[in-house]
Amino acid sequence: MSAAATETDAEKKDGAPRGVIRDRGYKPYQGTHTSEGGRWTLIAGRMLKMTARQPWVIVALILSALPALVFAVIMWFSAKMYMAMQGGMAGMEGMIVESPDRFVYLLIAKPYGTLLLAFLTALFAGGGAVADDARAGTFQFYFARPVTREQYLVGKLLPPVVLVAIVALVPSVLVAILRIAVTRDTSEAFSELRLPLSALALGSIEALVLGVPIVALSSLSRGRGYVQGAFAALFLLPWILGAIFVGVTRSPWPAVLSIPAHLQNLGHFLFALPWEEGERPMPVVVSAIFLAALVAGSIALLRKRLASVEVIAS
Amino acid sequence: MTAEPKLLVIAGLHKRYGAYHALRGLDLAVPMGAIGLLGPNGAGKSTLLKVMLGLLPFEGSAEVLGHDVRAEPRKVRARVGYMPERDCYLSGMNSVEFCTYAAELSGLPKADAMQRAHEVLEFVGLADKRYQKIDGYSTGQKQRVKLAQALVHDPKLLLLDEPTNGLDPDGREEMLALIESLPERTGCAILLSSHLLHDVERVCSRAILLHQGEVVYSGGIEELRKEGQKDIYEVRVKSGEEKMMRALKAKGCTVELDAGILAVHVPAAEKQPTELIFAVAESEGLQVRHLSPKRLTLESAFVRAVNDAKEARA
Repeated sequence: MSAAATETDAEKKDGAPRGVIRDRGYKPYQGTHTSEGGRWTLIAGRMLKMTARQPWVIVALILSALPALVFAVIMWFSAKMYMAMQGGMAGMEGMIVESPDRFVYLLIAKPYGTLLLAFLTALFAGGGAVADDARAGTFQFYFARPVTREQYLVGKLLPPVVLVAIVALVPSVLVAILRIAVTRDTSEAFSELRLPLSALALGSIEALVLGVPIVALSSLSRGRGYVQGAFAALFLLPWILGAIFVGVTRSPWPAVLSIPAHLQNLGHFLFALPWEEGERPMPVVVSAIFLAALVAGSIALLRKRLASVEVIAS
Repeated sequence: MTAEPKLLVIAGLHKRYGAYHALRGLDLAVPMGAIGLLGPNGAGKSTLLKVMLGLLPFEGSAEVLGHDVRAEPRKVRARVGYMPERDCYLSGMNSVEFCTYAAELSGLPKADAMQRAHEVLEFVGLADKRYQKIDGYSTGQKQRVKLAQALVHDPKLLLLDEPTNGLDPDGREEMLALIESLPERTGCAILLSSHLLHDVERVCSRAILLHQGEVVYSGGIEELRKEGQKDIYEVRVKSGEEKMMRALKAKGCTVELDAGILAVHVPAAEKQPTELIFAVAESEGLQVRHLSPKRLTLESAFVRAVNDAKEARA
């Protein structure tokens, strides 16, 4: 039977000519349902997709490869020199070559590494996380469905944390692995295994202390610009002012509210790096408590804000 | 054979916001169908909707579609579709993406969700606009998207909050026609919250009237109208309307004169109201040209029900 004949039969059967848009009616849904537990992955996936469309986030992600490349090259040369010095190469007597391990720490924790890019990624990825929903009225879209506030919270926190982790953690872990690759022998390679673990730990902490507070701040306003301004002020002002006053007073305490100062303090501890002469760091426990309190306080604030959102406005 | 669950069964429902008593001991058993939820601002409509969606703690008991709201809020929300009054779309998405996301959040697997999104967008008349960004839609199209996202998971109950808000007369008519057809075409019940009594009258067969947190009426709209028009008569006399009005008032009637027609509310205690009116006319020497029970609008019936409730409380 030809196609034309079939179409004609179909027309006769339906009683409607081809090309006319017909109301196909409403079909009840007969399929299955997914488990209730995984809704946060949908929220996180959607937010990640929308965030990754933002040009500044893409720029930060791409730019984070640059310091990684530069540090990889420097670290490679440094490791070769270090090995030569350790091996007692002629002409290197009396030279002081720092351990190349230091470069992995510098890559994560210093502004000329990925720290500023991680901050910018958090700023652009997390600024609108909750604020955009508050402005667009989408709380009612989420919470009138079988979605809990905890699922929403996790779904909104995850994308900025993951994106900051990509910027802060991935390059440093790769450089740490490169460091292991340029060791002299297996025993040295084994001793350097702690390096990617330290990078993983510090990078994860950085992702949390940058990714979580920005989302908490985002729950306080409907304007992402205000959120980004507030986060920039909270991150940059204590850092800059702290560094100035630490230099003047020779005491570490003026930097007690500085997130980068605490990250660097914790980094020195995790990477077992010595402090330079004259440097007087805060006790590492203070940094650990400050950063833990920052993350915990941010989550508590988020929970409180989400508990009070109006789903159906009067 | 199992009986069809009721749309809503609540008993002794109280909701307090601090000192403010928003819902005062509601008792309701509402069958499936198209129900209007009426009441002035502050009557408790939004609070009742929130309670029905399991979004608020409350005193008493509440079941929606046979599910205990307190024990199974997510099951209730999975079976309910909510069309909010305000915009709730996610910026940057087209309506297929938006409805697919809505369906997934309500528990449909991705492939089914996407298929349902296409079907439901066709159903609400947005098939040709489905790949355009919602941000660029007209008010009427946005209202249709809101209806589509509420329908996409095939709910058993649709909560519609002011669905014709902001629409021009043509758009309003189209939306009402679509909503009116929903129970028959989709098999779902409707709870329409609106202050536009015409919308409720057009779509619903039953109504719940709330006033100051109390139910002043729950039942058929026609019954409400009949109840309201009981003891109210339209009277025209040949001449001497003012005289007739004074005489009727002297007999304890409430009388309003509008364009030569008297609306006479005879006291409920009067056993033979028409006899009374004729007797008054005769005693005043006036000729009655027209006497019939007054057909009330829903608005008048609503006002009367509220006034009766006020009097009963006083």
